[in-house]
Amino acid sequence: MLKSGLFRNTFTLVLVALLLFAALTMGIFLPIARREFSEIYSEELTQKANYLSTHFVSYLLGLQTLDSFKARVGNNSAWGAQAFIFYGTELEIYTIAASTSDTAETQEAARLGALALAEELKPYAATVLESGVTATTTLSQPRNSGYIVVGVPIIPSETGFIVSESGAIGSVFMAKPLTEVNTSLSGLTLALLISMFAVLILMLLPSIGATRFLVKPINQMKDVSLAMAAGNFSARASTNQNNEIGELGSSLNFLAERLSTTINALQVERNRLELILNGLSEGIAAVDSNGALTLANPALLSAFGLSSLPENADRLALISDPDLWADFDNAAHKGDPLFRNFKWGNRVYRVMISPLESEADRLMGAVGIFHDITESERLEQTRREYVANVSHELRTPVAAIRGFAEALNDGMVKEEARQKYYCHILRESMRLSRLIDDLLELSRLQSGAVAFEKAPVDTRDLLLSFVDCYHARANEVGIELRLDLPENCPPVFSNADRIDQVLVILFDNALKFTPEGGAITLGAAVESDCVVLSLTDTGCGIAKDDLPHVFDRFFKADKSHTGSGTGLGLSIAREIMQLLGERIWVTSEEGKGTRFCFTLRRVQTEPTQLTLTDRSE
Amino acid sequence: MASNDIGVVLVLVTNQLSCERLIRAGNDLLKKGQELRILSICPKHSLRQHEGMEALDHLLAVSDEVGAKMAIYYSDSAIETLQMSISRWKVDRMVVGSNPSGTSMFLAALRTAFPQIPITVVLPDCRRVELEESGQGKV
Repeated sequence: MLKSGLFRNTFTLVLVALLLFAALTMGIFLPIARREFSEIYSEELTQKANYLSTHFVSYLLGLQTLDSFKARVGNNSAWGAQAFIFYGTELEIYTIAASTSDTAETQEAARLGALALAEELKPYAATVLESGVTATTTLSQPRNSGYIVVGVPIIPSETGFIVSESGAIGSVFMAKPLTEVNTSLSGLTLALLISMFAVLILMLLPSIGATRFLVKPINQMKDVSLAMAAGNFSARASTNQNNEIGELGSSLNFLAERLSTTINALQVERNRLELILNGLSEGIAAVDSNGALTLANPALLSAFGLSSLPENADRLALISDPDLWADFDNAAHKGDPLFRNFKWGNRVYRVMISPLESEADRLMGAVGIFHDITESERLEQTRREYVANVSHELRTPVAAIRGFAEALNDGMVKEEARQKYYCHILRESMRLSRLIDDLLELSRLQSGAVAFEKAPVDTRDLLLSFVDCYHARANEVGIELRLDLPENCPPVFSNADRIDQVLVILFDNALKFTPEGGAITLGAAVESDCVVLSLTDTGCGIAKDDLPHVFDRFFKADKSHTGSGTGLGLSIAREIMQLLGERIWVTSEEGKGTRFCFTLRRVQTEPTQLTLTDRSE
Repeated sequence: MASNDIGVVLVLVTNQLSCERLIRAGNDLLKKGQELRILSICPKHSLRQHEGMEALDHLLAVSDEVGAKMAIYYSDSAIETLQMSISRWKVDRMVVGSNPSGTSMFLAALRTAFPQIPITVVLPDCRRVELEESGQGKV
């Protein structure tokens, strides 16, 4: 508690108030007390002086003797003061301090002191005599602190005295040393000081208690506000006190509740926004007005090979293109949106950069949306190429058929050549038909709605049958068809017709590119879970740059497109393999030959099933 | 990545398909070590309009094709935005389109604003005109 500044301050305030109270009390008490004491003593001395005055008149009237009167006057101790009786202005009788222990020198000194004081009183005695009224004064003396002096006139009730104009015949003065007054006053002051000190000590504990009572709820409110600042809005301040502090606690609790509600709503909104931003496939980046990166969603980070925001929000660490960020800065400072293209590696983006404005239309930064159009561009390119390829492939036979038909129609073809023209038309029609069939087949396969019934297939029988069937055709063009079949080639779980279709495509392809005298080898390699069938030729091979494209539609190694094929066979083969859940690939060395391989899963224990591949996945 | 030291051939286009010829012309004028940039400045209100977007999309695709950077600024102060853009790059030449006569108020304003930059005007028939100091063209 002592560490609390508020406690210390409040306690110090209470303590200072108490001390100030004591000091002011003393300051006010001392002059008042001094005056009051003077009045009390004056009153007392006046009464005593009047008594002596009465008895002096009695002595003058002869009602008592001088000795009797002197005995009555006695000494200082009897009056608690020094008495002086003036008859007229002459000193008649005075008292001195009387003590048995006093020596003669001391007595003499006292007498001389009394006479000296009497000399000082003479002017006052004259005044009292003339005025006939009581006089009170203080005499300051260098030897001591002085005297409080009261002088009363002696006014006889009988006639026959020589009296002054005022009716007084003399005066009685009583002088009391001020030291006695001061001693009494000091005692009272000391008592007051001791009392006040005791009060101060006694007030300490209640003051500490009261301060604690005052400070405790404020400290608790401080803790609540700190908890709120730390995000804990469930903390509540005490509202027990039925005063302003209690009201302050209630206000703080209300504030906490409202803040909690508002911040929860903001949190929910922020989370929702974050989910949206994180879920977007488009990359989003934002910078503040200083150009520092404030946001990059996962899509953007992933696109640029990062998993989290770069250190120190370094935007160049995210995308090292100052030109792009200059556009962000431009939008952030000028407030003009912009749309631009942006190429990063092999990716192509469209970037929309917009300024971020506050509610007060103040520019706060800029946000950019990165739309990756690489795939759509590629698809658009593929579509354009597809249309161009199909047009080209269709145009060639159609143009040939049209040419031959026009010649026949014009009657310009001689009888003996006519049959040849019909053959050309038939051949081009068949080529056209093949192309259309292949396009339909490829389209059907790519649509995904093709069901392949799978069953155990005897690989050995399949390959032997294939070689048996196509051996003659290879021989016709001077090419040897070989079979490289391992012993105990296991059965596979696939579709025999489709395997045969793929083999025919690969075989046709190999025949086209293998010169006379070459060889085509059909092989099989047994692996742990599959059998890899391969078809290897000793043809011209495929250029390295062309290898990734051999399965593309209409791809022809022969760039002049003069070959007899449609350019769709290998695409069909790849689609079939994908639908069967198998892999197909090619290796080639230019000038030496090409090898196509595809996998066929070995028979295990699974029952016959129907595979329908959903291409939408 | 662009650098301030690399010379830029700046092609100014509008949201018209015919501006493709300007990009092609700019690409033809590109010398070794130079960079081709395409710039279009549209009024701010056109940001929410679809009119011309198809053409701009096409121009962006053409820019991608020729390897040029294209930016479409939505600003109501075209010359100021152009000045800001030009100050960012070292523009060696500007390429703009024009009507068949090769003259227009815009060309004159452009000539006045950027007297030190050679400006090539591509006419609708793809002929190129060098814009002279007077703002008149010379084939």
